[in-house]
Amino acid sequence: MRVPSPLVGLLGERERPDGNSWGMIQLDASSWKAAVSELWERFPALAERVLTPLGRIAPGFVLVVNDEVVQRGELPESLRPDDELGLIVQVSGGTAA
Amino acid sequence: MVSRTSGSSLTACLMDASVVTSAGRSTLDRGEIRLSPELRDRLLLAVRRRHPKKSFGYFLSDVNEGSPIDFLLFEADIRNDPAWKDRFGSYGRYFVQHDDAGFVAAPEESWRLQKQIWSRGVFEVGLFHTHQRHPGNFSRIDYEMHVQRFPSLWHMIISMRNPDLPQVRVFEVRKEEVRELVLRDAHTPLGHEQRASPRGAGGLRIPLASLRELLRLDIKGRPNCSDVSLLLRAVAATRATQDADLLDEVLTRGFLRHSQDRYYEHIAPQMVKLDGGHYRMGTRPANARHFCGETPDHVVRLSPFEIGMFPMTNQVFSLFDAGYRDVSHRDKSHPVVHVSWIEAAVFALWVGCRLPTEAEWEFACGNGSGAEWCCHDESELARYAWYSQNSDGIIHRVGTRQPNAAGLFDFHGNVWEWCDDTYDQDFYPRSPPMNPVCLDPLVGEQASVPGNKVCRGGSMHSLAEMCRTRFRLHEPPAFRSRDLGFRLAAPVRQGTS
Repeated sequence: MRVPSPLVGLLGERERPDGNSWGMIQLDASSWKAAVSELWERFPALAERVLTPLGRIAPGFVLVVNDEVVQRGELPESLRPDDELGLIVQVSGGTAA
Repeated sequence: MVSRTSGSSLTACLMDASVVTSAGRSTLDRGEIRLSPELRDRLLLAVRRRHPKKSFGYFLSDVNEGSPIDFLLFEADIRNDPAWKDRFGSYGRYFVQHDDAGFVAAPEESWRLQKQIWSRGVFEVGLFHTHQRHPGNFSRIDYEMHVQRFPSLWHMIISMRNPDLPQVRVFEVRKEEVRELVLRDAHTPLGHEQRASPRGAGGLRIPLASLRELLRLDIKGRPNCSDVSLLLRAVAATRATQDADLLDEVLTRGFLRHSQDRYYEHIAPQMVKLDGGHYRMGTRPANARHFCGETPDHVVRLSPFEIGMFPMTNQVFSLFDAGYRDVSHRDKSHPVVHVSWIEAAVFALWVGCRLPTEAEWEFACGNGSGAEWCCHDESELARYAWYSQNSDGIIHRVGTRQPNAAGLFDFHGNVWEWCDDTYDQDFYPRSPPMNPVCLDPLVGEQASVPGNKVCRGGSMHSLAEMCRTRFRLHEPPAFRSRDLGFRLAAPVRQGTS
């Protein structure tokens, strides 16, 4: 999964991935639910910002799977090895919801 | 997510950027953003082309987060899509009446631009967006959006409130505080910044013969010279001579001749004497959030002073500027607007007054209370103010809402009001306790926005938070807009009740 530079600071120094790729993290998950658990465990500051308590993408962020934007309210059912995820910020002003 | 073919080289670029970013924080750490004139012009051109459509996007850099090299502008705005429109409407009447208030980038475009950023090997260092009617202040809505999504970026606001004079402000946003940053020309070496005079006076060297000519009044008692900036410089230059004879000739019997008569005939009936005293000016740091320059709260003592019951009206201002006399479409009891600080200051002198200091304005507005407005809470504000919730976006006649406890009208909303002070966001920590006013030229030059003047009170477009008693705004002294006026103040004259 790759996150943009405004969110890289939330990865945390200790967990910043291997020092070999900026904003890129490897997740070992075969479902979105497992990915959410891993994000909470390894990157709690990021998870707190971008995920809702129910494991959905928080307002203001967008999930992309294999170059396809996941529409709000939907989530990928399963994940395959080598799936590439992007978690990006949706710029907006005037509403946080 | 990047394509496998380009992933490794991108990673390398971004690693470099990361390293240099950590090492190159110095610009931002100095509290300034450096923008090249070319980038600034290109941005303003793009923003002007889109106006009145809102503009928003990212600043990008490859080295130093305080020195952007490019920007990316979003094209699409899905703010009025059904999924979003109602959410904006829930913020209040302003967001219902103005369907360009607020903005939302389309997810697909967000992803497309994100891939561009990654593929160019640059990174996001700042955000920008335009305000169409509001000044360049940082609102609660801006703050909430920013701290949730962009914890590490700075934020530029470009106010198109007067499209001929766009105003650019840059903010460092942290959860506990928002602080205005200095915007500098990237090509100017440090320590060689062009410094504006805090009074917009542009220097005081004027030959004596010219002083006499500049400050001469015509047969109707109006200034001969139509350049108010030059007039103000001439007054300052005359005073700077400390030559009693010259002062008497050029000012007392010259430019200020009959100013007392004008005061008693046209101004005095609408002035209210306040006894002064002490109050707590400013805002406690714990409550400041996104309000810039309001901290710390501090005790201020004021001598008695007079202040206008209303903002200055077109009718009275037309005594000075005949152009306002002939404008039949203007209601004479509307506040005068589209006047610069320089015009307001010269007019004030001409009628034997001055502009209120910030401390006087704040004291008079809240009647010395610690409340956010002159009333107890926001639910009562519409009784006292024409603002975004009740103005319908138009200026109203003065004195048509309830007065505050001191018998003064329209401090909140309707039109912003110039104050005498030079703006400095760091003035409060070193403000003198007695009759403070920030006019020190050095202070002006060291301020984040050299030479800007303070405006207070909010306008008919303003959200309630901008109408707060303690809210500070600033604009250049030559700036003017359709929602910016002033009110007068004066020392207490003998015999004033």
